Amino acid sequence: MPPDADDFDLPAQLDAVRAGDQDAARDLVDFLYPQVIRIVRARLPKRVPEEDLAQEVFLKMFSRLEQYRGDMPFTHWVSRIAVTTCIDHLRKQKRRPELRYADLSEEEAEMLDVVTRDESIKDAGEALAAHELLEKLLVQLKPEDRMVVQLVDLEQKTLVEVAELTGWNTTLVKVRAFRARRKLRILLEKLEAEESV
Amino acid sequence: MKPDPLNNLIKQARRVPPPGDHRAATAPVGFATRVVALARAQAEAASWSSWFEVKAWRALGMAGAIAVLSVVFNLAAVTDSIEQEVLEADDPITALLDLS
Repeated sequence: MPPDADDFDLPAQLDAVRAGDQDAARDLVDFLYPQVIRIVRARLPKRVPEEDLAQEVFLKMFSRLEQYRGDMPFTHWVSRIAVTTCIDHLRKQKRRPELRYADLSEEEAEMLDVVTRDESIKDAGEALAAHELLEKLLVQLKPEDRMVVQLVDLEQKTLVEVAELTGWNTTLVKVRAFRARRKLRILLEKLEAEESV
Repeated sequence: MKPDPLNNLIKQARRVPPPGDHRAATAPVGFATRVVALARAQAEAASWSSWFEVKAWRALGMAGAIAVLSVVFNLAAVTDSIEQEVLEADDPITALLDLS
C-alpha cells in the first residue's frame, strides 16, 4: 500500500534517501507510484510494458536526485521525468505509415461521418470509437505534438500545467498545440476526401 | 457557423476516461525493492567508473608532463649528438673533396 499522503513527510524522506536510507527510498517509490503510473498509462507507447517504463522513471529519479534544487514541488519534478521518458520512448518508435480511410474500422468510419456532420453521439461505444479514431490520428504526429494534444485537449490541462509537466515554456506549448491541431485537421480532411471518393 | 470536425472529435474522445483510471494504482509487490536495488547498483557502477575516469585522466596528465619534461631536459644533448654525428659521418662527397 502506498503511504498516506497526509502523513508522508516528503522533505524528510528525501533527506533520508540522500543519506542512503533504503527503507526511505522504498517508501518514496511506493508513495510516488500512483502518480507515475497514471502518467505512464495515459501516454504508454505501444509494446512497452507499463512497469518497465515506470521503473525507468524511478531509476532516472534516483540518479538525478542530487540535481533536484527544490525550485518546484518534488512531485512536479518527478512528473516531468515521467513525461519526458514517455516522449523519449515515443520517439524511438517507428512512425506509422500514412493513415488511409480503408484502415478505419466500421465504427471509426461512422464516427468520422458524425464529427464531420456535427452530430452528437449517443452512447459510450461511439465515444470509444471517437477516442480510437483520434488515437490513430495522433500516432501520425511527432511525439511532442502528440503529447501536447493529449495534455491540452484531452486532459484539459492549462498551459502552465503543461509547461510544468514538460519543461517547455508556455509560448512553445501554444505553438506546438497550434501546429499539432493544424496537422490533425489536415489528416482529417484527407480522410474525409478519401471517404467521399 | 461551419462545424469543426477536429473539435467535435476531441470533444467526443474526451468522454472516454483516461486509461489509468480504472486499474490498480499501487505498486506491485517487490517493485519498490527491485527499483531501489537497481538504483543502488547503478549508482555504485557510476561511482566506480567515475573514479576510474578521474584516475585515467590523472595518469594521462602525468604521462604527458613526463614526456614534455624528458624532451626539455634531453633536447640539447640530442641535438648536440646529431650534429656531432653529421660532422663525423663518412660522407662520400666530403671524402672525395678531401682527396682532391
